[in-house]
Amino acid sequence: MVCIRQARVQDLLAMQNTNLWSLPENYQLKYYFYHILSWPQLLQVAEDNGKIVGYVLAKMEEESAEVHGHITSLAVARTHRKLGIASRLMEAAHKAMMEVFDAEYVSLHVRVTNKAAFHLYKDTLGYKVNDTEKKYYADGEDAYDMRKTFKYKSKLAAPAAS
Amino acid sequence: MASRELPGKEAGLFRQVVKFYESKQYKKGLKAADQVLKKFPDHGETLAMKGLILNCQERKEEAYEFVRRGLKHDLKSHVCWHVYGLLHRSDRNYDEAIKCYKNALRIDKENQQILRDLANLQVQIRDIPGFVETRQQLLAQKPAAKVNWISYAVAQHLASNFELAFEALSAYQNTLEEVPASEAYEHSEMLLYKAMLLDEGGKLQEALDNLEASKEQVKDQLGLLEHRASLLLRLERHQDAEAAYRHLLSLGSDNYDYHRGLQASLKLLPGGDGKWSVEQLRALDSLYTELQRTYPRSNAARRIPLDYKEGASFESAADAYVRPFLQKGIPSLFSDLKPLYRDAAKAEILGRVLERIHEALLRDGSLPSLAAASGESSAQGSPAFWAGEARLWTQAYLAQHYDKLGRIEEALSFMEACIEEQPALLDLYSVKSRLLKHAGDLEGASAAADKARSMDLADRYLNGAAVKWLFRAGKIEQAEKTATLFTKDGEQTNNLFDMQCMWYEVECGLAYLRQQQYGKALKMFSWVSKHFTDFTEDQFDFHSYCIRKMTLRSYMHMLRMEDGLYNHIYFSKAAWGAIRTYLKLHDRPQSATQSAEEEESKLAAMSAEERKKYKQKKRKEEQKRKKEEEAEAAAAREAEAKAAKEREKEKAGNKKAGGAAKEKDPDPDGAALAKTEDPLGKATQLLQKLKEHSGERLQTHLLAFEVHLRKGKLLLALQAAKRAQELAGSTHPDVHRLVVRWCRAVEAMPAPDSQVSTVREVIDAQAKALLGGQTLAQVSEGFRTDHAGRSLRHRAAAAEMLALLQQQQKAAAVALLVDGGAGGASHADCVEVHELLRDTIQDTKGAEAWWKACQAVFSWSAYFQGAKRLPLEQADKKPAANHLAANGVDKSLEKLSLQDAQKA
Repeated sequence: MVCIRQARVQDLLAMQNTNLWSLPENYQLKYYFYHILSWPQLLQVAEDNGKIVGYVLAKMEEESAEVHGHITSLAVARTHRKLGIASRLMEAAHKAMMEVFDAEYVSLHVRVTNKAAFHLYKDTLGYKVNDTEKKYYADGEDAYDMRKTFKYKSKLAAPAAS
Repeated sequence: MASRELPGKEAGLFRQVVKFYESKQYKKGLKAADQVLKKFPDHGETLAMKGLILNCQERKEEAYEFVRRGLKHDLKSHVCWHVYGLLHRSDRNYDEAIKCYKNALRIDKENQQILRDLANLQVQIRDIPGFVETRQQLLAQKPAAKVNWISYAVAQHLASNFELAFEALSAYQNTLEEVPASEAYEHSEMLLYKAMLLDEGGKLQEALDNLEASKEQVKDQLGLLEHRASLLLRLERHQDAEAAYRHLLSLGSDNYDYHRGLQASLKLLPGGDGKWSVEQLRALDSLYTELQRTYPRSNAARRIPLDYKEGASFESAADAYVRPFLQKGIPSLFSDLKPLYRDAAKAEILGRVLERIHEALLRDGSLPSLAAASGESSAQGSPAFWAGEARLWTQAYLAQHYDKLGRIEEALSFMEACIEEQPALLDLYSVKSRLLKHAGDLEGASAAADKARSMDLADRYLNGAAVKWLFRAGKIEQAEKTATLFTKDGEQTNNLFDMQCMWYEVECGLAYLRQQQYGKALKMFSWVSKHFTDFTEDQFDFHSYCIRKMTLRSYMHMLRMEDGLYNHIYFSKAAWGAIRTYLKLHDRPQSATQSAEEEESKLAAMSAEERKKYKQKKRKEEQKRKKEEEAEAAAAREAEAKAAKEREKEKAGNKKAGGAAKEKDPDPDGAALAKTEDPLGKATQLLQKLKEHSGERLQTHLLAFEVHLRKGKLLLALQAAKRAQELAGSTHPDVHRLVVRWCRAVEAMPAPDSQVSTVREVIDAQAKALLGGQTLAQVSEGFRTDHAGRSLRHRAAAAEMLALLQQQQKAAAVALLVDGGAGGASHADCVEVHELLRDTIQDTKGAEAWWKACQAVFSWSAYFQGAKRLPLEQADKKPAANHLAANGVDKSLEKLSLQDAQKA
């Protein structure tokens, strides 16, 4: 029973653990604190019976001329592939970037050899390659700098209180 | 005392010192300070500032020396006191730092900077009254500053003065004119925080009104909708709550919180007994039929009915639910359904459903028709396309299903069938390694995990799983080496430590503990502890950051999370591990001088052949122990020498050591930790934290008992036993052990002398109460008759206590264990019983008989040398030669991998 929802502070240690089990790029807990205490709406998790099996960690680039979001890290546990969790997490983060922070676009980096992730970003989620950054990763691998421009439709409306 | 006033030139220099410190230009700062000190060597504030800068260069000892000297020369300077406070603060001596700040404030009452620093420390250590007072002072002094209003509100919130907090925010809000677009988010967060304040203060209606009123200005609409829905529900406005949750579901149909909310507003949550009424079940059915139609992509809408449905209705829903998972080969199906196994009837049905699908796939190459006509279409696309895949995943499911039911033979045979069919599908090996672990074959488990890893070297999950199973199988070196493949600088432990990789440290520590490498075990556990200290410290910067960012809801949640931080399971696991290590360290010296009597009786029970073997083994153990002790002593000496050297270096003012240079760990192998004179004292410190933060976990009290009993603290041991009893009930086997052992310890106390001690009276009274008017032997017998039949663990407790209380009943105790057989028990419990027979009851024949019985039951077990484990291994070893070898034998792994590789 995989539940997709906004992350809570209580989830951070479990998110860090999922990250350590899934990716070579890791962060100290304080970095997770920094994200959730800056842009609480941008962190999303997938939970299976109380266990965090996927997350997206995202932020806003506030210094830049164009307000935009950035995906810091996305991971889904290997045991929970093929369920569409990654795209649902990303969609939730995108939505919050638009609604809460009026982002123009969202950017991310992906290893040039990571075909599965590239496919997800490009074909499922509509990202485009903006640039290639040489030796972006610690092990010397290049990264695609990918972007997705947001199209704004009508705003989310609350139902009228009766 | 030297004068504080400096002449013009030096006064300018001193100002520069402060400026350089603030801009982190430490070298220049030191130079300027030295220039002042050349002329005025006793100038207190300059001395203190120099110390502060030295501290930033990691020259701790000098730093303290200078700051203290500065203070001595100018006790009336608020600068000196403030600096001393900052120094303590940087070393996390919060209480000391607060004292210093307060001294500084006595001299300079209205110093804003010091007041702010003080407030941050007060909230850090949760001195809430102090925090409120300080924020109040700051607000009174500078009411024009926005942060002072917000901080004051937060302080009052923490003090549960919700109204005062709310009023402060409203007062501030009234001074606002237009909110600039650039601050829209901050403003929105504040509005939502105000609703949180009202809510927590019990004013639900006001909270709701507030949300409605600020709707236009709120950016986080989803947050608003969620809060609003929850308020409506608690206000029992069920229809409005229903509409609110339905709306939320349209925004996220896989969010279980929304499903729960909707069910609650329709009064469809189960009663106190966890059951639904007939009307509720009917209503749920129609609700979820509707939701499935509205949200065809929602997995939750299809999965939730499996929770409340039963019998035939459950069977047909489950049948329809599992099919797409099998056709698409989604590996998490079992994990998804696992909670349903709490209900034995559902477990049985799931088995039936999957077996039926399996048969049809084997027979017809297609799925059977659905268990009941639910209108859902069966498979899509050409059956040939997915039938093979579906059969494979059905078998993989069944393997996990039978494993869960403890039917390991069937589980493994399904697994073998899968692997034979698709040897290139690496997920299968991951599943297999879990099954083998349950079957007791740790080596096989680790070989399978490593096999999966080797099939995709870029996947960190597979690497981690392999590492974990290698640790469990006792192959520490190989585990460490494998983990290195995924750490940046190649120096694996450092990187894993920097990244706070706690699962690794816990596994590694436990592996070392099992191999009796106590220093290294303690080192790993201490690292986990260190992370938690850091997590606590992590809050510090956010006390002021969140006020500026206005993310106050998240900030409050963060403070609460920190308050409960030590309840985290990794802390408990590491602390339990450390306590068990300290117990071993405490027990070790005694085991060497084990009473000759015990030894003799043990030898007498053996045949000549056995005696010879036993003596050989003892000799070897003794040699090994000596060697280890020597190695540990040497390592400890080395560690001490290294630490001394480091200190020397620091004293010499080694320039390179300043700033970013990483501190070297003077005791990397924990030799110094293991050399502690007072292992029980160390264990007690950890227990304190555990009792405070994870008192709801049985293990905490079982270990507390062990520590207190060894310290002769009978009352504390009793307290632990009672807590365990409260948590697990008096019929729990571990609790029974504690009660018997405690009463026995009381009986063994020397008779009270003429002086009547009150402690003794209390103890005797408690013992009487615990025994309920019976003798200890009667209590033990009562447990045996009433509970020994319940499980192997109960039987083991009964037998162990029988043997403990009555030496002459040893044979009966052994018979109780052996005659009952091993059927139905878990592998881990059977291993424990074998150790109990061999080491505690010390009955070689009984141990042997038990071992043989287990060998027949656990044919995959490495420990019991089951017939089916590691086929290549069997020829090498005769059973019973050395049961301890479960963890040894490195070569077998390589052999197995080779064999698997050839098969593939």
